[in-house]
Amino acid sequence: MQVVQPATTQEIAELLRSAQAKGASVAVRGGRTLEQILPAEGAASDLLFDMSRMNRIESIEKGNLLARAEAGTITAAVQAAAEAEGLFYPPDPTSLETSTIGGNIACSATGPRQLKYGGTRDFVLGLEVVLPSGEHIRTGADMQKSVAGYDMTRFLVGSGARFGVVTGAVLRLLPKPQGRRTILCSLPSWTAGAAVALAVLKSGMTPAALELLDLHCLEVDREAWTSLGAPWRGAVGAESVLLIELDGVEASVNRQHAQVERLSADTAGALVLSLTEPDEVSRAWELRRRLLPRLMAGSPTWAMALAAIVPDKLLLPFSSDEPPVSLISNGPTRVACFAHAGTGVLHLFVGIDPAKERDGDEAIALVRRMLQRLRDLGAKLLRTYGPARRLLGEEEAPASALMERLAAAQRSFDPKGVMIP
Amino acid sequence: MRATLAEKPQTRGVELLDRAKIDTCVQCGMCLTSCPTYRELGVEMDSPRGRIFLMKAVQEGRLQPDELFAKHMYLCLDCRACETVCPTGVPFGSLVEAARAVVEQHRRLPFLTRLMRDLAFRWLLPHPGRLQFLGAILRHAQRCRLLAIAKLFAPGRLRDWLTLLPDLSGRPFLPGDVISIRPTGPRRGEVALFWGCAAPVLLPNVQRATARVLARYGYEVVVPEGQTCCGALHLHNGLREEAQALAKRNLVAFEAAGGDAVIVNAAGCGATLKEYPELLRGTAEQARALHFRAVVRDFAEFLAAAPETPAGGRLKKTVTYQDPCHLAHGQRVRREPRQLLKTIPDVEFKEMRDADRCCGSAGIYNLLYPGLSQRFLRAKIDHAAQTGAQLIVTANPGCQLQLQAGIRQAGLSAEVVHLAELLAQAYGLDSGG
Repeated sequence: MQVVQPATTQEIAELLRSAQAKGASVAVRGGRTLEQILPAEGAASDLLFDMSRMNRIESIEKGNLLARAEAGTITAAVQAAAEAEGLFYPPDPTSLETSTIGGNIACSATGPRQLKYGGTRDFVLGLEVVLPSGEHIRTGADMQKSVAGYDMTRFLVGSGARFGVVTGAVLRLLPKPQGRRTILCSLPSWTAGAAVALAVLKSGMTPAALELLDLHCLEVDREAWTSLGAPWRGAVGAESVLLIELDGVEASVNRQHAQVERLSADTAGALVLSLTEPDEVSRAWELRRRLLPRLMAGSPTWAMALAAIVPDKLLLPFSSDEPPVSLISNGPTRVACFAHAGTGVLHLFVGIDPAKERDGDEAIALVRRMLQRLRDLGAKLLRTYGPARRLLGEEEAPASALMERLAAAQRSFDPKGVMIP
Repeated sequence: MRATLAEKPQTRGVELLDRAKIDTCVQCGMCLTSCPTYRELGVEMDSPRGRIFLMKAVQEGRLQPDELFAKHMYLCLDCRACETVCPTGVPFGSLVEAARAVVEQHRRLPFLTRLMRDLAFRWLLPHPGRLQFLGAILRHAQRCRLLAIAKLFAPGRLRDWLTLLPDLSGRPFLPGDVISIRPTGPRRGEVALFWGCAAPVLLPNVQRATARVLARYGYEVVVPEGQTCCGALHLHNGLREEAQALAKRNLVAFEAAGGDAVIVNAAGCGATLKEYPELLRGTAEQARALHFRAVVRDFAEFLAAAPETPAGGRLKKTVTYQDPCHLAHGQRVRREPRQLLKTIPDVEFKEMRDADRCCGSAGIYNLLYPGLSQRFLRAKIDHAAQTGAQLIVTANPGCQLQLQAGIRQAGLSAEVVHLAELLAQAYGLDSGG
């Protein structure tokens, strides 16, 4: 395998043309942040495009509310450049300090702000793509409202690098909200956290983000959370944190804040903390962002499930006899649960110590029961990750009729099968 | 899988790479943006994640610790900025040091390089007397402008080195000068000063200022005899056994001296002294190293925790601070030096951009990779200049020499001083002689 660092679209076109001629395979990498949870398929290719040199933000256009950036640009750099102009690029994958715009587009990355704003998919207006043949195409338009014809941009976002190499994108921006506030709500149990989240969603307000973390998520950074003011209730056996971001004009933020306080007042043991120092706010979100690496570091082998469940059923699977924390207490196996409340996504992380296989089996059995109950409630197991992913059972497969046609489309873009996603 | 691996002959020295430490890395990549060499070169294998990937391959016997591996390991500044941002606590500094030790077991250096290295690491650094002697030669050569002339004719690399040399015209600081300094004012205790190797020769005023400021704070300062170089440079350059031997000598010297604390004014040495337990792991001295670590304090760390700040300090200057990597990242000491600066009446403190990004000095990195080092230095000098500060304060001799050279090159008027020199100035203490 040879790693190349192309600096221009032309260079990529030439490399693809010669790869096509030689029958070599090509993979593309951005910030490589997904490799921590997905096997590095790119390693099997003959040629690996490292996009890090294509990292220019070509323009931030205040009047047009858009940005142009090359594919290798770090997501956080786009956010910072937009903020400097009083604008806002909302997509916030948890890897935003390392991941690239191109990588975000390839996997249709999203983050906590999906709830109010959506993800990468919703903020890409157009793409520059080099097809496997070396041809250079543009999709979409440099404007907010472009409705004529098929939406090829949306088709390509989330397609991996199956159809070609994305070299640049036109991104949609919003005016920066006047006010922004982070609220940390500490609660005595997962169910209590889910109940407050649900009450917030039903109350008619839309927070920018509403993240629910269980005890085990908090435990990996116990001191940092307590230093933010979240009391440690570990002895009680169960607790959760709701991390809420509110934004809008100042008056609206104040009203939403008051409403969160009112809603959580109904829940016994709820503690609502408004993080006022900028340093505290960034620490809190950084804790959320580094959660997955922290969980993974504590477990030699692990598996993670991403389940889709309608928001108002979020609290049900754990409401009765088996809250996730009571599954395994103090064992070598860790089951952590976190949800992007309101977006329909729930993550179950299972850390397994292979040395204590019996406990591992027990944990897997319990997790499977939880997943089964989620399915019974209509949830879909969208994806499984990690070295032990097979233990979690089968993912939901898309309809085969659709897959056949997609494969045909892929063949028409890439007849020689150059691209390895 | 495991069985076949065991049958393969193991790569020599590979046991130095601790698999458990390698496995704490989950390859998330949060370190990349903090890594100066990755930012500058944009090559994955010159990022912490890439380097760990290579170490893992060597540890598993899939890759030989050849010159290419060596290059990626040595291009690392060992600044440990990645440790500060790492969510899983990968001890990267100790990993890269171990990787270099593996490299050195396989390397066959050209004769001249080996001779230079042995002279510096084995003949010179561990011997204060020889260092002083060399210092005296350099001082005289500088005085009669011999060095200025040499600079005109020296080959490229040597010229770069000579550029780094500070003004040596001040009075040297000899071991005999301070065996003990009495506190001024009420006596609060007794501290042992770590003396270092090259710093007292190249920056004698810093040592004097350190001792006098400590005395002003009420501490009796002792410079224990028999102490030697901390071994940081050896450890960072793969000479682990030499570093261990030096560590053992220092343990003996400081145990004999006693005192409430061991004070270090060089960040790189401080980090290494605090990590003696790790360096001496598995040896008979490990337990003693743990006791030793408990009393080692960086100068700023120690003074910031002092029960009382002596009255009478004042300095009407604009000041900025550059974090030495091995203080900010290696010892997690960031707040204390700033606190000391901000509490001096009349000091106007201005934070510089990216204060904790490596200046490119990095031990002997600026001697080995002058080109790359210069790029880091220029960015640092730009950021310092933007603050408009009259004094650029740091807390490590390597950074200080590097920044001084940067200021001279840029033709700026700002002065680069050690925190101890600034405090000495504020209290009207003479550090010049």
